[in-house]
Amino acid sequence: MVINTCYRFVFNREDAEDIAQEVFIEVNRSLEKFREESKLSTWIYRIAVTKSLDHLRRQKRKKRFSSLKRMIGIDDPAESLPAPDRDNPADVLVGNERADKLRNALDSLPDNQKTAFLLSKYDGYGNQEIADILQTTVPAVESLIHRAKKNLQTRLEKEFRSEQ
Amino acid sequence: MNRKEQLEAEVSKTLELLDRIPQVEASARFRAQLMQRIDSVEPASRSGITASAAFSPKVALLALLLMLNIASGMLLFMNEAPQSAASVSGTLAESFSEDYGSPALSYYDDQSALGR
Repeated sequence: MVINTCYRFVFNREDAEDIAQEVFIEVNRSLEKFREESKLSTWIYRIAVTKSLDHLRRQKRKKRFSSLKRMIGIDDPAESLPAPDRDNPADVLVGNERADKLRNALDSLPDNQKTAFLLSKYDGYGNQEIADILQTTVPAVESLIHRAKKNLQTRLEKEFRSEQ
Repeated sequence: MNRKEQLEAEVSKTLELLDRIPQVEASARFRAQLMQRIDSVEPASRSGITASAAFSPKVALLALLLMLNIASGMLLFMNEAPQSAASVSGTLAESFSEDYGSPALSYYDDQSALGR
């Protein structure tokens, strides 16, 4: 479930596995600090969400930095590395134009809206568990999901409109 | 289908992608790598704790400040300790004679005593 949670954020199996490994290492390292204020699973999923969001932030920074380098004419050897394996059946969202639009729209959402929306799309989480992970209330989660849907719709409509 | 409906259909089709994300299973490589990473992190963190306790700059600074504090306190105490009551009263008498022995205050002197 940890890998699947991470996968819903990063849409890439390899990245999701890497993040999940970091999550388990973190859990192993700070198990003593766990104060039993929440369920162990909730604590682990909270770490998974935080690590996934950190990964997305790093990716965004990297993207910004590489576009800046491209602007000033410096080639990054890392960019010439082969692209991720798109034949992987799990990566249905890789190399798909529609999926790219969805990813961009999700990237534009604030972290709490993105988290609430993505976790709600995964069968394993109910609103109560999402509220526990985000350390908020169920009505707040419902509101976050509602706002996320609205923002995604607006953003995607804009994307498709500009295409036409 | 008008343009708005078309847009809405595109948007809902795009959002449906999220419902089609398959379940990912952890590979055998994942477990092996994870165990390897945990094994490599554990001894490092254990030795890291002892090393950081020994060489932590915070602890060293705290110890230095404590030593300076004690040393300055001891110096102050050692300087003050030899002063006896006699030496203190001597210093006071000297200070009084300097303060009241100036010519401006000479009218306080007993002139009749001088004639005797």
